Amino acid sequence: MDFVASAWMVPMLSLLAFGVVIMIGERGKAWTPIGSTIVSGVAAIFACCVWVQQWQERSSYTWAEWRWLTMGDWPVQFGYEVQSLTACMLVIVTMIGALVQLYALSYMRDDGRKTTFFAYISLFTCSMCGLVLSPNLLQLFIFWELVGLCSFLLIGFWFTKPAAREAARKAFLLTRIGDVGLLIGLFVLYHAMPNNSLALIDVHNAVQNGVIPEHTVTLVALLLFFGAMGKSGQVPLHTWLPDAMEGPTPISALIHAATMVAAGVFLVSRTYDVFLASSTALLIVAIIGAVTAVLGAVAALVQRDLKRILAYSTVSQLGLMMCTLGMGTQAALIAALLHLLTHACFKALLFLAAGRVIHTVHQQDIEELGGVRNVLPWTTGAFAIGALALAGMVPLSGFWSKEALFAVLLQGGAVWVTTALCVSALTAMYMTRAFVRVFLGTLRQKNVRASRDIPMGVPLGALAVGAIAIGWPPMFARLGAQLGEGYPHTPAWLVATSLGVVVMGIAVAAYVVRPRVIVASTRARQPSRKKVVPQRRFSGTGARVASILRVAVWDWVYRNGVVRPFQAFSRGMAQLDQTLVRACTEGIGTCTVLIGKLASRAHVGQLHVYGIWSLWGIVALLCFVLWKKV
Amino acid sequence: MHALLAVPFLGALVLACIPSAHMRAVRVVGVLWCCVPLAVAIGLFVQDDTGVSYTVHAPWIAWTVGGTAVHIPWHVSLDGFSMPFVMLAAIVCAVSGVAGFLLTKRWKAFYVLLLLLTTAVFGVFVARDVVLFFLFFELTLVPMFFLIGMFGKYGRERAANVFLVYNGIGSAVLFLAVVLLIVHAGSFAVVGTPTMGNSFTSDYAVIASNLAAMPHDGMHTVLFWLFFLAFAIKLPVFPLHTWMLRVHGEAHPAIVIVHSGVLLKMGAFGMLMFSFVLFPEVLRGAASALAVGAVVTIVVGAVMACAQKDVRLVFAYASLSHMGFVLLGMVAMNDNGVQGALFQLVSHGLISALLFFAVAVIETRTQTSDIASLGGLGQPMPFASAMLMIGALAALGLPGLSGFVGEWLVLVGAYDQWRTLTVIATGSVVLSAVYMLRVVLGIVFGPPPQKHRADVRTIEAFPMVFVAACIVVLGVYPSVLHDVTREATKTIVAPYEQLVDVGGGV
Repeated sequence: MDFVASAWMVPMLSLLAFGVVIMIGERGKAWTPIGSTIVSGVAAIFACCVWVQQWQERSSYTWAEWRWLTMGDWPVQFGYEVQSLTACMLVIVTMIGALVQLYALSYMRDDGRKTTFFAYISLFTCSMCGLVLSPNLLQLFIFWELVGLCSFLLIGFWFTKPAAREAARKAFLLTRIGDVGLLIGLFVLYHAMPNNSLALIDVHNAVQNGVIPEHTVTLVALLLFFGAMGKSGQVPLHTWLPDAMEGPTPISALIHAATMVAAGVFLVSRTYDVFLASSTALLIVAIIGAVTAVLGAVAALVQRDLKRILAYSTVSQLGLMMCTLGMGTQAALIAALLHLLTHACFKALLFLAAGRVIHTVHQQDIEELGGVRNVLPWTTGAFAIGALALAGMVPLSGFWSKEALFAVLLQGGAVWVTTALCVSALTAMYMTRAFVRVFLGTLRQKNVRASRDIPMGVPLGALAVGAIAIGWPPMFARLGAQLGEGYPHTPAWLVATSLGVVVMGIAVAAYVVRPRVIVASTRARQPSRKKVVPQRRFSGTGARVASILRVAVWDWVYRNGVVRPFQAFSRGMAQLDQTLVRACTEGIGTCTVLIGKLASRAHVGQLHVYGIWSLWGIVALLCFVLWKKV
Repeated sequence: MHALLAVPFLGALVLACIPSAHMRAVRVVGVLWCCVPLAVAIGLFVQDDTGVSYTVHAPWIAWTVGGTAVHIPWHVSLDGFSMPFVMLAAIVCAVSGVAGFLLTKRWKAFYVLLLLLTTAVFGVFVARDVVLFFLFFELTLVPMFFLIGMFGKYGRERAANVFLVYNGIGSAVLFLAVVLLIVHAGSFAVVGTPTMGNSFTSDYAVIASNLAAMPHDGMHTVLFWLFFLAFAIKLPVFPLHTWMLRVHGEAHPAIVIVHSGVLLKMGAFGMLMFSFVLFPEVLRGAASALAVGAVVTIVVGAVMACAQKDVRLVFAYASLSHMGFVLLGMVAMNDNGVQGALFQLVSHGLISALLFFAVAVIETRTQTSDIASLGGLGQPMPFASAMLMIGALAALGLPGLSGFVGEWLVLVGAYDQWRTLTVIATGSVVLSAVYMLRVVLGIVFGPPPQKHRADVRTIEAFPMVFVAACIVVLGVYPSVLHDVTREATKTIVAPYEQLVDVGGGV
């Protein structure tokens, strides 16, 4: 079977699952989630087949025959395109989508709107696959927005919670700001392209042949990147990502690993020709990426919420990817994509493991957690694998992809690689902190019982295997080679340095953050009193800085710098409209009404009488007219 | 095609004969009869996919005064240009008819007036004769006035008066413009009379060709602005919009569906047909100023929508903003712009119908449309909430729903000529997300209400599903509508583009 040519099946399967599940509704809550999971599994297997076949044949396949719209004389053709990048992304998206659905079977078991949840996940997967397969920027934009919609719906899934509502609003609006940039980019590109085509292949050719003037290319690249900033949580449009933790945890895994945030990196990779043609744009991409990476890592260090730590870590890692893309070489593209791939794997693992903890202990504040190791030993192992992979510890997958990043950044300049090493150290620190606080020490919650849970266990196991195995060097290099030429090689000293940095980060954090052990007092008189062993914590100033960083400076800036002034402005405008404009324009009306009132004395003043008279008047008029005609 | 005009009118007569005491009969006949024009329109739409248009051209009224003959022919035509509007009007009127079920009294008056209104609206869109157009245009005012005045909240009568006064002024201007237009450009040679100048016709086609042949003079400018003013009130354009807010805020939602769904479109239709198509050279000079006006309307509407406390007023300002997009597309006067404006009109009509139907459903259960006192309806009313959400998402221009296509085409078309203005207009897309999310999150999300709220009944669900399906179809496959209007748009745009090509860019 020609899998590559029938790649459209992948999004279609998810769409089908969405349609059927949402139509049946809560009546089918016993079996539609399972059915939806099976369909997504089939889609994932199908995507793997596509990928394998594409790898073997090394061919790309494009079908764009569906005329969606005709703009002027140019038809906008929709379809799908399979090449190495898209095939690879397709596998990540559907795999994680399927695993998350499997996990959610257990996680969302008692939720009243379970079927809706599964329908939304299917739609999410479908939109993301559609985005990946798009041969055309307009089609890409359409799915891009749908991805945003799905994340909005899922973040706000528990819609009765005010916090979820605000998080959903924020996610939608901030990504929408980015989307407007992308949209304007499309206008510019549409007018700059020789035949008004937005097909990616035409854009590729036009940029390569230098048809488009350079400043236009820069403008387009920056606008495209602005869109990517919104979706991929780059500073300053990143604040929605941590808040998105209000959604159910499986969704956090999906958003942070495979779908929403990957879209931005994917967009930049897909239109990388445009970026390569403009050094200004590349520099800006690199700077914003680096700033995001550092700020995200620092913020992750001081969070108290387990999921928010992971969220800021995503922000930081995406920043690293963007920074790498800003280096502007083919190797940079490969390195960033490989990191996207491994990151998807271990970040999904971390989120699902965190979800398991939260589901069991019902607590996500790491200061209140501890000793989860005793209840969930396997989950602890999975989280440890994920954390080490994220930190970049040899021989887990994160190590190999980070090596590739470092090699590229080194070519770009010492500044970049130093920044990346700092981020790496910070990553090791915050992950160690989270691990120590959550899993080591003594469990404080009572009556915590973990039952064996296969739907949750299987995805964790699968992702843990993935987080270890994807980085297996021979395969990894071939994966890189499949994505393009020029897999980067890292000098030995850099490997050693980076490992040293990671080990140091872990050591420092392990020294500062001690597991919190609670020793039950043995005295007979007060059998229930417990004593907290004193331990080192952040010092006074450190704690104060941490709390300042935690309240999210950006949120404050947005609230007081943008939202409030706008609200005041908007209210003022509305007031003006209700009073001044109305008075001016309706003054004429009032005068007329006053005159009319004098004349109205002669009338009955009953509406229905007027109505009937008017009706008869019309009839009479019509008779007259018809008579005239005859 | 005459069935389109005859059916609703006949319905009004039949209903007028049913005693209003038979409430059940009145409602059943009323609802069913409102759906008949829809069936007729769908039939015409399906048949007319080859682009052949239905045209009837017959002598109608003619008289001679002192050697000057005036001919008013009966010229109606259903071409690619009027087809989408007729479809829209048919759908919206049917939806409004069903929404009439939610009224509590005076059904007979409602249905009689609604059917009359439907007749008039169809007439406006198919008339290809200036006087005929004017007559139908005026005919919409009367039933609309009574509908607004009879059904709705406490301020409805004042709203109806303001509506009438405003539109009366518009009509007066329109009347003046029509007369001037006929006198100025309506002269034609009757076979057998050698001299021109003593026979006048009000046929649109003749006037258009006469105008195209005439040199540009001051009269054209005057006529252009007169027509523009008349229709700008109807559209509406900032700052002539306050009457529309009153109607949206006070009238019953069933009436607002028709009003926002179809009547505003007549303004756009007239503006395009009379101001922009007939006087391209005036438009060329005024385009930039008008584009600024359009963008002001877009942005001001969006900004003010963000501050409203009442759902209906949010939607009213949103309509204002969307009509700004329509104006922007029309003044760009290129293929994409005009197509986008037409698409936006149809799409906005459907979206308005859906949104106000949802408002009607919610209002009948909660007795309020104040955002602050609503909330958490997603739990007790999942279906109505879903529909409100689809409408709101379509209105904020989400791709995959119809709102996006119109905005995309308009903005692409406008970007051709005004870069900065288009960027500003595009920025307002963020604002539309702000106000629409405010409504949706305020009403649907949040802690559920204490009192029990029943979800929709079947009769309420049906039109909402139908309209939502139309919105999705238009969004997923816009060529359904786009191909119908393409040829017509080309002929409209051609003279202007020629003008621009000859004279260079503006």
